[in-house]
Amino acid sequence: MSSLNAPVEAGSMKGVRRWSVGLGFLAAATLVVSFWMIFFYAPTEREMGIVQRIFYVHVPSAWVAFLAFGIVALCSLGYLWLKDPRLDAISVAAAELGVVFTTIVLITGPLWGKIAWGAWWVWEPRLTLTLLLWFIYVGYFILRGATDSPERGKRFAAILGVVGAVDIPLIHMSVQWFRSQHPKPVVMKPEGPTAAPEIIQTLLVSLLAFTLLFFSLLLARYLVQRLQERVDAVRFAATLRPGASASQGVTV
Amino acid sequence: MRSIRIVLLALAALVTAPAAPSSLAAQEPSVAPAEAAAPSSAAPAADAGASTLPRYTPPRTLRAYTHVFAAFAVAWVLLFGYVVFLARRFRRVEEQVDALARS
Repeated sequence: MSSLNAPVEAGSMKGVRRWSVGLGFLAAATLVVSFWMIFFYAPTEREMGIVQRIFYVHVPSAWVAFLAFGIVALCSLGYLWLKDPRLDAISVAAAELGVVFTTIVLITGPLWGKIAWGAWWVWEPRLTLTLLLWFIYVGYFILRGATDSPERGKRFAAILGVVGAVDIPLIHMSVQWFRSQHPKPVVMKPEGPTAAPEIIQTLLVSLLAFTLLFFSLLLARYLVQRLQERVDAVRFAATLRPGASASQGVTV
Repeated sequence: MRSIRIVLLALAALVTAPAAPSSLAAQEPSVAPAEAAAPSSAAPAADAGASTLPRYTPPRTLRAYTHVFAAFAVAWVLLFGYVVFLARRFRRVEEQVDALARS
């Protein structure tokens, strides 16, 4: 049981837990402010009307999903190089959250598009590439579990995590490079943002809230992953111990 | 294998989704383009000749409110569901750690 009670690891786990809870409270407070701004502060857009407010959940979700998959790519690269299990745990946590936030993007987008474009879905570059991104990272989890050796599964998934991130700049640039129905950026432009200041302020607060929520959930998921790995390692060691009964340390 | 089947079913549902009618851009008369908002509803705005085309104006109906409500509801239900899933998983792992420590 020594690995379960290792004092240094236990201390760092407590720190991770504390940060996760702290960031969670901060995220909740920022989300309350962002909700107030979305529905009472930001003006209703002239052309689109009320449906434009989906923007404040759609864009931050997309930002957080890109951030998550960027973290997956960096940590996967680090894992392939250093073989540090902590990097793999961060990759898994970020990939799972990336899939959750991309799902939000893929659901809120059509709800907006049906009113704005008259169609739920259009096979245009940005939408198609975003759907592809979702499939890549769903595939990441399928690949992890599809191999006989867990180590090999981690390695294959890490390679997919790095390769899949190539889709992120493609999604971002697709509206510039291709004929696209999706609107162009209004904030990150060379000549500065073109939207009304209230809209930009509300968007920034929403971005902050979603980013804080993301990091809080990322730390919580990382903690679960590390604890699960330790439990699995101890169980595996128990099965290898001579004279250990099959159920010892396994039945929980 | 069940997850692969679900993914394939989702893909099939998306493939059968209708494409945006290209004539939408010419359906309704032009309104002043809102500089203020992110989403331009004029589909081919990227084209050089787009400014001469009349814009598609989204209908101002109660349906738009339903879509806003649905979008926020789906986002928060998904996130809340994920938090609950994570909390349950965390509790389960903690129980396993306690059981192993006891044994």
